[in-house]
Amino acid sequence: MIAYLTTLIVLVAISALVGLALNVQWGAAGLVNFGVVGFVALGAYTTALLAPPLGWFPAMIAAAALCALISTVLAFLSIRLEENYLAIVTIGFGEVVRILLLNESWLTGGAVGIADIPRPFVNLVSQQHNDLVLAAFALALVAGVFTLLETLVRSPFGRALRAVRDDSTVAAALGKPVLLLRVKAFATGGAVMGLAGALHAFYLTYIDPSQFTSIITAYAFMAVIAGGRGSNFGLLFGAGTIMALLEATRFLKDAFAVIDGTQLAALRLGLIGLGIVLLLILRPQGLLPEPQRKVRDFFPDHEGSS
Amino acid sequence: MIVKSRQSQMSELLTESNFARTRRGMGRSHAAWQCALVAMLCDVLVYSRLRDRGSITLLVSSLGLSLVLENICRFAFGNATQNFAFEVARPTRWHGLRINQEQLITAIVVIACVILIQLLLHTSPLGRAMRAVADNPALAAVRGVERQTIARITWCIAGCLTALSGVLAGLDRAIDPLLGWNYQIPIFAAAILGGLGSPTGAIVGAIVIGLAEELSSLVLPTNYRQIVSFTVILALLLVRNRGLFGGKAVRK
Repeated sequence: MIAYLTTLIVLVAISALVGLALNVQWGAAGLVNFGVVGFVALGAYTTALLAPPLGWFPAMIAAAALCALISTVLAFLSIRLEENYLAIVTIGFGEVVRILLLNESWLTGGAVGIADIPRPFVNLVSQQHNDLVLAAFALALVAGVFTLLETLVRSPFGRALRAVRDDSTVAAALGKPVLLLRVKAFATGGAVMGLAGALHAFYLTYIDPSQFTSIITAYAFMAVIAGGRGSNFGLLFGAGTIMALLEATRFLKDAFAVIDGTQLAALRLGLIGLGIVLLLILRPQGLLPEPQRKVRDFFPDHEGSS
Repeated sequence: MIVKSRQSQMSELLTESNFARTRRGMGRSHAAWQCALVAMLCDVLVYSRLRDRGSITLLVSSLGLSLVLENICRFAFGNATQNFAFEVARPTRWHGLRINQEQLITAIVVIACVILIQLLLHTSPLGRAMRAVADNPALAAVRGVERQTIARITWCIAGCLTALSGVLAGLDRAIDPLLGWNYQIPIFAAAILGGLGSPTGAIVGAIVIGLAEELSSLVLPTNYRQIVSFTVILALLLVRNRGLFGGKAVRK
């Protein structure tokens, strides 16, 4: 039972990190990214390749840095395009990463993948507490990233970002560097996705391309939509809810004996899709929406309406 | 080579229908009207409620919808690869070129479809209404064109075409629930290359992308085919973002 719970904690932590990253890019800055899985895979592979020679911490930082760098390049290439086209470019990027990982077997091991990725703090405790330590590490990582991003969203940078999201023309007229703000937001999100990939690699200690399917992207979008775009608290809640739903449906098999394994997997994925669509129609602002600050909150005596 | 241009159908559909990515997997030996029905159902249940909320909301919802459709297929038919039951036919030889029976069928069907769609869009009142709605919905509404009805009919036609393209793709290779994913990127590439909103452009775009992918195997390993179409997209968006045949500009 403890083992199951620690597994659950790590899985929720990974999806929360991915969700937080997407929440910066799509939620706060309004830049849609359908290539989430590509960045996560890149982070995981960088960690897996660099952790044995360099140690886990430098590897993790390198993963975040590489993902940030590639997001920056991608952002400069495509961010001035209309949002539909950014979506296409990012879908394409995700595909390209998958194909490269699968075929450049001299580096990535191809379909066989990379095994024996060292975990953090593995020498400090005995073998059976290994998973517990990793779960604690995952929680600490999420807490750190959450604090950082929440500070970021509340800072002047975050305000400018939301202004760009809501109306880029007005923001530009007020002298905000729209392009730079967008690129920065995209790179921040990319870095966090890299961290999520690193955690993924640490947790499984074995990675191969089949673990990184577009379902990761779908989960991230579902988490952001469920929580409410731009709301980090909502995101944590959303990610938790999705994982709870996914894990709960795992036990459907015991209840309905007629469904076999493939059908159950199909059912669970289908439900995620249905969830996205239903939430978009019925509750587009999310379950814990982003707080809307009005003029009155800052100037209580102000007469005019905002 | 010509076979590749069937993608144009799908890309045309994508431009027509807000990038909705109904799964080609649905095409497995189902009649076209079934797919049309599904497409219309999707519109009634989902897209018509979200139409005014911007294209990204539509894109995200289409992601969800494609998950649902794909997994309905998987639920009903399982993960295994299937084939149409065919007799193996000997390829026709023509000046040293080998042409498969299936390729011939595909080419003929696609050419017929292209002509039909062109005629529909440019000569019939329905086609005129469709183009009007696509250009300027408000103005079209003032002139008495009902957006809702036109959108439904467009969805029906698009559904038929996707069903057809699914069947044709199934002829070419085997059918599995993930059939649609392989075509995603080339389709987008073809649509952008030709210029969005221009069916002729989409066809030319599809042929060029198809050729580029096939010819690239002379220099690159065949595994990297999809990277070629991605590169074409990127290069095009950077250099000539209106596509080859006009259409709408894509820069903000």
